This record gives sequence, structure tokens and C-alpha cells, in this order.
Amino acid sequence: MRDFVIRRLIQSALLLWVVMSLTFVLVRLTPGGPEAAMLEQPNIEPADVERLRERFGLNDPLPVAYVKWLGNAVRLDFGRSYHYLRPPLDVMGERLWPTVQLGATAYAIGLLGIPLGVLAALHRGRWPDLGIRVFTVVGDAAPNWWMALVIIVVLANLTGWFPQGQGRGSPGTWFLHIIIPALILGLGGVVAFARYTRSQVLEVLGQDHVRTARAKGLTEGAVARRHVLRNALTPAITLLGGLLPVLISGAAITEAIFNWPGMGRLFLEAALTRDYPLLLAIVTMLTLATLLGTLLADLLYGFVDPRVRYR
Amino acid sequence: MSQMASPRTDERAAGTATAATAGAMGHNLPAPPAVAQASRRAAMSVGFYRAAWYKLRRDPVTLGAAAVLGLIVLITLIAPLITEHVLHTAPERMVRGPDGRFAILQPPGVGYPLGTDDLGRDVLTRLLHAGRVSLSIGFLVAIISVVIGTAAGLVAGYLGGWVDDLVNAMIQLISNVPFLFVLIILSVLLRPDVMLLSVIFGIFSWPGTARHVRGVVLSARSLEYVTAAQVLGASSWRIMTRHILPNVANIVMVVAGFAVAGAILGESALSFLGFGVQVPLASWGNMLGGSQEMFRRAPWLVYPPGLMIFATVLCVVLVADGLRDALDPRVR
Amino acid sequence: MSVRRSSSLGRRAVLGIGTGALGVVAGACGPTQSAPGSATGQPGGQSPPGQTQQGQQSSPARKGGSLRASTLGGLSKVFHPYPESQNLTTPHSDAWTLMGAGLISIDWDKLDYVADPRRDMARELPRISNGNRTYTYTLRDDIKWSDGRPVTAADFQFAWEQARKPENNWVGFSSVVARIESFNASEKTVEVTLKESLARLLGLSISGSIGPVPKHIWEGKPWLDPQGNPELLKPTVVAGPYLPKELGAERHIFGRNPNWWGKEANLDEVVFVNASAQTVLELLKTKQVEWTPSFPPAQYREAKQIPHVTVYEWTGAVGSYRVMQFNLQRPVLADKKVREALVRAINRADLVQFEDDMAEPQFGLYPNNFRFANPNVEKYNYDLNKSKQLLADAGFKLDGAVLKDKGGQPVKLEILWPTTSQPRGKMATYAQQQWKQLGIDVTVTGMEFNAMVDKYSRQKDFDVVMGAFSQPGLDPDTIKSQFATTGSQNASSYSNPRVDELLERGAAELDDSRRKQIYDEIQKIVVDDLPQYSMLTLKSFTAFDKKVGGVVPLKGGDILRSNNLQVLDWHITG
Repeated sequence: MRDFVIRRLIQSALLLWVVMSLTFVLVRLTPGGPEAAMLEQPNIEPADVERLRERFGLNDPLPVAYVKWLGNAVRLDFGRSYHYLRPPLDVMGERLWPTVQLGATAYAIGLLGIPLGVLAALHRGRWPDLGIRVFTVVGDAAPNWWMALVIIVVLANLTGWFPQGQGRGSPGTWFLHIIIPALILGLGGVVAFARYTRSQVLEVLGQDHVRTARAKGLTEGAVARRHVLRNALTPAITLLGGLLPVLISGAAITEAIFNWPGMGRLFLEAALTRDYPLLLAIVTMLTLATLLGTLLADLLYGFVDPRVRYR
Repeated sequence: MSQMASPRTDERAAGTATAATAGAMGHNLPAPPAVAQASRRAAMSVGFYRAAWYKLRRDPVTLGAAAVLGLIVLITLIAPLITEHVLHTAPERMVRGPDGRFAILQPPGVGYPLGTDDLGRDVLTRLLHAGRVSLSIGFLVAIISVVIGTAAGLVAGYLGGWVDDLVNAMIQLISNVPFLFVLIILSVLLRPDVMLLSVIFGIFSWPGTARHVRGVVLSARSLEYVTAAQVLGASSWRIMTRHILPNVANIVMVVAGFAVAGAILGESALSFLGFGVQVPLASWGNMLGGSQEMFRRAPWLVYPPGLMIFATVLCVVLVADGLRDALDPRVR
Repeated sequence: MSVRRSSSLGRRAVLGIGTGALGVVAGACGPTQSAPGSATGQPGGQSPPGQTQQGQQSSPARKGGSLRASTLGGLSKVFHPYPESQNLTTPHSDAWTLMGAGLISIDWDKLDYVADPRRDMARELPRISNGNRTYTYTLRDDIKWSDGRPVTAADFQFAWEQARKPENNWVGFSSVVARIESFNASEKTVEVTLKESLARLLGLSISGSIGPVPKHIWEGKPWLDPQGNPELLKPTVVAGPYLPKELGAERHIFGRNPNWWGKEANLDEVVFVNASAQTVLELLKTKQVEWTPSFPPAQYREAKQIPHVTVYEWTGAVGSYRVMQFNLQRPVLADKKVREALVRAINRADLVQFEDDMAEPQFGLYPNNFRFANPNVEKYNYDLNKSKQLLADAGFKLDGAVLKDKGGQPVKLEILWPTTSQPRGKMATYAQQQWKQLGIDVTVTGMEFNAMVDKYSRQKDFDVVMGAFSQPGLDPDTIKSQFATTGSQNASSYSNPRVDELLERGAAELDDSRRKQIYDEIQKIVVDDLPQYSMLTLKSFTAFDKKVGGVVPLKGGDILRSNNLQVLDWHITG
């Protein structure tokens, strides 16, 4: 167990390093550096651009820039955002809480997929199963930005209002503002959870001890309670570990459409404006969160599923 | 880790650095880590497929979806014939009205059953042609994803050890590198066409397939006849291709379906940001992306491509789901 | 690009955003009278005819209320009074229009500089002496900061001392600082001496660009580091009519400056709310905001149909325009006959449609209503037969449907356009169709904005670009960067010694009518040479809830930034 954790930690650190390095190179090789747009401003002379490049450290040869950046990054110093002029972690910090709110709500909605999956499995092949299948797929079959816009138009027509930004004041306002974007983000989760749970439960139902239980004459309800529920909950518990990155990564398009000040939009913005320090900081921190989350998920899995052996 | 890890397929395509041990495109949960799950896979046999077909026949949802999907594929295949001989239009033709101005944003009417777009082109014609592009992307991505993913999953699962670690590392890597950048870089270095987009999507979606395949392989590895083959001295290559690959066929079919769906949705998300298939070539995604500011002005631009994407993705996923169920030997 | 969609996800707009903050009075600090645009004063037909600004003042305006605006292109990230290039964005200029004040400003009715008692810090226009090189401004006695302390000459001097440092990286370094020889503020005067004698408009715009920075707040604090100087993120002391109250990621709220010394504002609050291109107008429609400064032209008709909304539409005396730029270094395009053949296959009347009719054909090198625009240049009217003739003259032959050059190679061209600008994509597609009729194989390539700029502007690796420019201020000198041999925006690699010489003379010419002649000639020569084809002048438009009164588009392009700080007169009725 301890060896497993240590091994995984080392693996994760290596992976983090590779992702960071690769991203660094990719970003720096992307045509149109942060100063490209400046050329579009009249009155900007090449000397101005040169000064800016110098200030941003863009004149360093790639290896030098890389070493400098990595050296600082391990101390969580990501330099200054070109556009915010502040350390990237400060900027990200402001986006963290709104992102977590939206992510957590979407996740909670996604959890609804578990009972749906159980229900579908218990009624395999009959109408509840078909209904749930169609429902979950329908929820996930259109581009979600498109659905978001359709919802906004319909809602605006019906109520003369649609949510934008974070609701302020009462919890009711907060809920009204968060529910639509959360639903849009959460639907994918419902589908995934439902599908996963259904197949897990089906597998359990096919196992010997459950067959035996059935053969003993246990009612379907009892079978479900005793044997199925535990397995059905496995994904939810496991996914707690995966929750970390989900909660902080955000969703660029949905955030943009609903004016939600989240991390996804920040990332997209940083990408489009070539804000290298901010961009690299986001990628690094999210990768870190993902890796830790995965590790946590694996460990949790071991607690809920005794069949798991740690290598 | 789950689908939730990358909140939505299209969000990921949008370049969000979503955490993602989940596949870039896949809607599926990865196989549990390092778990040797007990799995009772029936040996492949004619009887097995006959039983599957028997089950499928009694599954109206899957059959209906397959029929609709077939129809969509058929129509898009013969789209050039339809537009040339029935509609007498071309996808890039800009129609002028009697006043010499372009017939821009005309609502559905005589001459253009689904109206015209913001360049005065016939929407129906473009919709039909766009289907070819979108479906091509979908299927190309599925092929790439399946080929690479299966191969990687197979060797990782069967050989284990450092090969497994390497594949896992690559999966993790791909899931964490910002997609948008790869896309921008490649689209500048190379011309962003259907092939290039498909390759990029494929590269970002094979980890999902690999993860599934690996899971199945891990359990198949311990099956008696595999062990027997090993004892008899069969080569790894032979065991993998002869004994293990057939076990993987089911899951691959399903994953391929999701890859098709994911690619079509992903392209539309990229089009929303202007990085999808480039105009003047039409895809459902970029038709939809181009209409994003015209939800009220020209609904006929907004809903037809949206519904085509919706219908196609819905059918593909339902068919894949249905197939999985029918081929799933666990509950008979 | 003030009134145009810049990008759906909050990015610096396409060409030339906020550039106006320079080369126009009160650049960084003042009410950045930056933006492109200016109007013929045709309010969208919905406000009472004959209403002028004076008429506006006489109507009783209600005080109080909050004006919420849904904005495209994100909110400003920092509020530096002397921003670096990447921070000079439309929202930054908007914010400083509310928070700042300058020595002088532009009267967008008369199209000249004024020292407006309602908002400017100089008593009158500067005294010009020393062979047209020294501009002496006299400060008003009553100007003060929002904390009640007086604005002094020392605040001006402090600002100058910082702005002039190269390491402080002010965006106006080359265009302003580099052209000033000395800057002396003492007592009640600000004396700016230029390095050379310049035309009056240019001299005023440069000398008036230095606004004050509150020395008592800023002194000893780092100029560019928000950690040591939180003023960059949220100015606590400003000299303009509004003061920031809340600056978050989703909205910015500006409240009254209690110590505002100019004309009292009617509105208590101005709020900017972030929006995407898809929701920006929906917010106005659902009454979640009262103003949508800019929205995609595709939504113009829809906006007109909202009962409680007034859409103002006008063509500015300055503003944005669309051009097609050719790379003269490409062998095929080096021949003027070919370029002429290409542009004669384009019909401007068609192009207008791709802007949803929110544009008009342009022939000279400036927007149509700009005072220095010269419409009497070669128009290259649509003539497909002439196009074909020109190509034949240039030695190209049609082989079936394929145009081939002298060597028998098929002619291929690529048109670049930025994916942030839908209309330009449509125009590129249109050009592709038109040129196909000439037998040319055209590829249309949409590119991510920064990548495109890199490709065509820096690497000069392109054939044809769908470009856009913005005429920011009143002075015509701005085209120098496009057409001077060494111009920073001369992507075409255009070079004509006569034009270089005329541009130099134009910048220094003191006599206004002679100056007009010079720029007329420049335009005639350049249009004849055809490195760049002027397509359209874009109209300005903006949408207000009907309950907002006092809105009168003048000849500026942007209703907030370049219309005489009329936000002071806006009010909420009913």
C-alpha cells in the first residue's frame, strides 16, 4: 500500500513534469506571440515591441526560458500574467470559488445518474430501461453551447429573463442563476453515471452470489438492497477523488455564455491572448489536481472494492 | 474518474484544461485501475452472435435508431445527386434575388425549402453536403481512435510492466495537454481540413478506447484458454491477436460509436470558437457555429444543423448502447 | 473596432482598438477620446429631429439611477492610467472615459480640439509659440482629485517623468514621448515642447496626451506592479466624474465621484456587465441592462424590432473601415494589372450586404466622413470584362476554366481572414467566388487572430488579407504606418518615395488647406498604386433602452468615448 502510493507519487511527478514541459514548448511555438496583436496598433514601432518582448522575457532562447520558468514553477512562482500584471495564482484564486460552485452543482446533478442507472439495470430491457436510455442519451446528444443558447432564447421568451452571472443576495437568486448552467454541464455526468452504474449493477446481478440469493427466493427488492446498492455506490465514492479537478477546471463555453466568472473562461482567454504565464500556471495546476485526484480515486476504490489489489 | 472529469466532450474540445483521466472524447468511464475484474465472457461463437441478434430484434429503440442512422448516412452519401438533380443547386452558389442583391437570410420558401444563409446560399443544399463532412470526421476519428486505442490497450493490458506504464503515461499526457494549442499550431502549420481535424481528434480520443480495451484484456489474460496457450508456448503476438482480440471486439464497437458521436459534437464546439472545419466548406458544426448570433434573426439557420447533429449523435449512441447490451453476455 | 464585434470571448478587438487613446488628446489619462468613429450626427431616426447637444442640456434631466451596459470583449483587467500595449483595450478606454479627465478634448460636433469647461483641465486651448513647437496649457483653479486634493502641475510632471521612461513601457512611448523634447509643469502651466514643428491637430494631440497621475498616492509605489501598487487594479483617487466601486470578473460598477469638479453627471452609477456575442442583445431585450454598446451587425434588425429599445445608427467622421491588402512581394500580385483585375471583380455594393447593410462603399484611404478623405480617386468599379482584359494584358491565359501564367502554371491565391470577424470571412468567400470566374483557384483560410497577424504582418507570408483599420482621431497622419516604406503596419511592402516624402511634409504642414491637398495627393497616388483596396466604411450603431434619455450621437464613432463625454447628460426617465 505504502509502496503503491510512493510509486504513484513518483509517476505523477514525472508525468506532471512532462506535461508542463510539453505545454511550455507547445505554447511557445504557437505562432503569434503575445506581442503579435500589438503590430496591429498604429503608432507602435518595432522598438516598442522589442521592449515588450524584453520585459516578458520572450527574447531568451527557448532552453533558457524553459529552465528559468521551470525553476520558478516548482516554487509555485509562475511569474506575472501579461494582461493581469499579477501572479497567475492570484488571478486563478479569484476564479476558484465560482468555479467550484458551478462544478459542484453540476456534479451533484450528475449523481442523479446513479439511481437512474440502478433503476435501468433492475428493469433491464423493459420500458424504464428504454426510457432512461433514451432520456440520458437525448440529454447528451446536442452540442451543449447550442442547448445553452436554445434555453436562453426560450427562457427569455417565456419569462423575460435568463440567468447571467452569479446571483447575488438570497440563496434563491443564487439557485436561479446557477441551475441552468449547472444542468447543462451536469447532463453529461448524468449520462455517464447512469451508463456506468447500469453496467456495474448488471454485472453484479450476473454474479454467482446474487444468482444464489435469487435462487434462494430472495425478493428482487432484497437482492437490490443487499447486493446491488453497495456496488452501485462504488462509482460515486470513487469519483469523489476525481471531483477535485472537475471542480476547479471549469467549462469555458458555458461560462462564457452565462457570464460565469470561472476558470474555464480564464483559460480560454489566456490561450487566445497568449498570456503565457497565466496559461502555463493553469495547465500546471490543473494537471496537478488531476493527478492527485486520480491517485485519490484509486485509493478510495480500494476501500470500497475489496477486489482491488494495489500493485 | 469519470466522464465528469471532462465535464463535457465539447468543453474539452474547447480547450479547457479539464482534468481528464477520462478520454478526451469518450463518454465512458475508464476501467477501474489495476483491477482484475472477474468477467465471464462467453466464448465467441456463431451461437453467441445469433443470440445477440435475437436480443437486438426485440430492442425497438436500437433498431429504430439504426434505421434512422442508415437513412441519414444514405442521404448524405447521395447528397450531390440530390442537390444537383432535384434541387438544382450547389453548396457554394450564392443566389441573387431579382433586385440583383444576394438573397441573404431568406426564410424557407419556394426555391429554398430551408431558407438561405448569410451569404445567400441554399441551406438545405449545404446541410446535405455538410453531412458528408461531419460524418466523415465522425467515422475517421472512430477508425483512428479504434486502431490506435485497441493496439495500445492490447499491448498495455497483455504485456503489462513498462509497456503498460508507458501507455498509461501517454494517456495521461494526452489528457492533460491543452487541446486548443495543438489545434492552433497544427492549423497554422498545416491547412486545417477534414483529414487534419480528424487526425487531431483521433489523437485526442484514442486514450478512451485504450483504457477500455486494457480493462477487458486484463481480465481476459487470466482466462483458462489463454493460460493454456501460454503454456503451450504460443507467441505473445499470436495470443494477443488470436485469443484476446476477439474478446475486445464488443467493447471496441461500442467505443467506436461514442467516438463518432464525440467527434461530431467536438467539431461543433470548435466551430463555435471558429476553429472547426473552415468555411466555405460546410459541416454541421460550422453551420451551427456560424448561426450562433442568429438565434432570433434566422432560426432556419440554427435548428436544421442542430437537429441533424442531435439526430445523428442520438442514433449513433443508441445503436452503440444497444449493441453493447446485446453483445453483453453477463445477463442472459 | 469600437462598434463592431471584436470577439465572442473577450479579447482585444480586431485591428486598432483603443489606438485612439494615442495621437488623440488626453491619451491615457484623459477621457480617452480614443475610439474610432465620429458621426454625421444622424441619430438613428428615432430621437427628435433637430435635437442638438445644446437642446439636450435645456431639457430637464433627471438625476440618479443606474445605467447597466452589456459589453462584448470582456472587462478591463487593469486600470493603469498609462497602460502597456496589451492593456490598452476598449473596456480600458471606456473605464478611463468615466474616471479620467485631460487637458483638452475633441469637440465631436465641430471636429476640433476644445478646452471644454464641463470636463477639461485646461482653461483654454494652449498658446502655441516657439516656431510651433511649444504648447503652453494653463490649468484651471478648481480641478481636484476625488479625495478632495487639488490637481497640481506636480501631478502632471510626475506622470510625465514616469511615462517617459522606456522601462515603464507606456503604449504611447513612440507616438507621444518620442516626439516631445521637454515637458515642464509648474504652478498653473503645463508647457510641452515638441521636437519638431508639427501640424496643429497633430501637435495638440501629442501635447495634450499627458494627463495627471495623483502623485500623493502614487509616489514611491511601483509603476507596473499591482502587488506594490493596488491603484492599478482599482484606482482609489481619480479626477474624472466617476469612481470605481466594484471591479469583479463579471461586472464593473462605477459610482459618482463626490469631488467631481466638472459638469455634474445625472447617473449615479454606470455598470458594465460581461456578455457574449450571443447574449449581449438578449440582456437588453430582457431588460437586464439598459444599454448594449456594441453587438454583432447580424443582430441589428432584431434590435430595431425590440419595442422598448432605440437603436442609434450613424456614420462617423472617424471610424473603422475594411480593406483588402495585397502582398506586393508575391510575383503574381506584384503586377498592378493583376491587382486591378482582382478588385474590379469585386462589387462594393455586394460587400455592403455582408455587413448587414451597416456599411457604405469607401474609395479613399480614410473613412468616408473623415475630413481628409479623398473620394476623388480611382474607384475601380466592378467590371468583370475589364478584369479579364487586364489579366490577358498581363500575359495570363485562360486554359478552359483555369487561368495560367506565362509559364503555364495555374494561378493560385490564398485569402486570409481572422475567425473573430464573421463579415470578413463572408467577404473572403465572396471574393473566392468572384475570382473563380476569372479562372483563379482561391483558397480561403480563416485563422486564429494572433496567428494570422503573425503570418501576414510579421512574416509577410500571405497573398491577400481581409484587413480592417480604424481611424482613431482627427489627424490624418495615422496612415503613415500603413504606407510609409518603413511603416510598422506596411504588410504589403509598399514603397513609393513620393508618398514617403508627402507623408513627411503632411505631418509638418501648418496650413490646413495645403495639408488637405497633400493628403489628397497621397491618397490618389496610393489608390493608383493599389497596394490595398478600400472596401467599406463601417457605420456605428448602438442600442439603448428607451428610458435612457440624453443620447445624441455626434460625429464621433463611439457613443461613450468619442461623443463629448455625453454620458454626463444621459439620464434614466420613467
